[in-house]
Amino acid sequence: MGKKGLIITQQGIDVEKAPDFKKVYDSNWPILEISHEMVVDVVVNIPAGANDVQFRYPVLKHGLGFKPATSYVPSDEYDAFGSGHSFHDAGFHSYDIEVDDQYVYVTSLFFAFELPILLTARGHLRVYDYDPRIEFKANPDPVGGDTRKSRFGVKVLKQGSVSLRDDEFSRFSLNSRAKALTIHQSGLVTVDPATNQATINHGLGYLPSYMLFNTDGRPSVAVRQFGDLNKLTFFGVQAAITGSFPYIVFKDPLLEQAK
Amino acid sequence: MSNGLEVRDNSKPVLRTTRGHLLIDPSIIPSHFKVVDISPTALTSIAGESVESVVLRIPHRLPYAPFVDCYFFPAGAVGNKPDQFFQIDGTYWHDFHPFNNPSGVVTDALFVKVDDVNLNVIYRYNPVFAGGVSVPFPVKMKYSIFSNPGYNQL
Repeated sequence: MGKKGLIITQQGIDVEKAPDFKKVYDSNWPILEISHEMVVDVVVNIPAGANDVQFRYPVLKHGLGFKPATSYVPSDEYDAFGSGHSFHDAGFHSYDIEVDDQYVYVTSLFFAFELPILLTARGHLRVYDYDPRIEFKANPDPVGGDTRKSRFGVKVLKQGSVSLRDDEFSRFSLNSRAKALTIHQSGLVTVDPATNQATINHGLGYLPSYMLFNTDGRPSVAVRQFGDLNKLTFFGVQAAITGSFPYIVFKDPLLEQAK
Repeated sequence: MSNGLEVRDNSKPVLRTTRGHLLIDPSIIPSHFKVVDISPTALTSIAGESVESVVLRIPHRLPYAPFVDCYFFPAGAVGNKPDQFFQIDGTYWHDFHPFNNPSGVVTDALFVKVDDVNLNVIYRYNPVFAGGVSVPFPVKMKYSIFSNPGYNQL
């Protein structure tokens, strides 16, 4: 990784000396760009029948050409990136958010004896222009000190926003008063068949935020850390896991690390 | 025509300010990125009925219900917990934290809900077959509140 690129630090922070957590943007690190954002509102009646139904309903054509990272906030249980359990509608019918190279789907498997079912899938979907299978790892930066403020900085409004004087960050694409979520590491982690677990060695020295996806692109499984702050170990919630899982590990945006 | 800033790496865009990003406000109080102690108190339920309590409310001071990311993990040493909780000792869960009763049935959960005012940490106890009293123990929560709408809002 070379010295070329763009670094934007928080207001008042020397670019040459800024540690990770004082940077708003560093082009040496990937960043999650939101490529699509929508409210999912799927109401489908699946009629009675003799056969099981593999339900797969396209809700968005993202057209990115790879299986992107996503986040989904269901309207009932608010659980952000998801956690290895399916989402449920008000009737407790479970469903998943899955992706392929072109589309985002609401999916579920309904057994014949369950039918008919009125499935209602509502939530807030974000698709990120990032392929979590990309092998990437940044060097951890030492952290320390406080963030000073000054009058200087960078603000870039989102399209349609009009005032740089606005203090509400959701109107900005980039604002050096704010911190953008940046990626420390991503790639594919493979399950050890001897332990049915998969381990990511991130080396950060604290418990980082992460996203983990099954091969269909949706969040899956759970995490143990076993007291080691430099690795995350994944395992199946209800069954042994096999194969490989795309993941993203994020840098802590502020000096407040989980240990 | 789009206005803004674009950064490319070998002609691949790596930053386009025409795109949105997940942002955290570092100056809001209470903090939008923090590790906090969670200490649920025991809940009593009769058979099959779910009971819940709000363990913690964190005002977010945003004009919408924001997108959040939360993680729960045990606050104490492994040996200090009742046997029925041993299964999750050392576990760093991703925003959903089930406890098991002695028979192995998941009865408890910690989760978050966000409204226009607060991030609410909720403890729910739902014995499936028989009533009883939950036996929670202290956990920690790491949370991020993003300055991005998160609940059926655009």
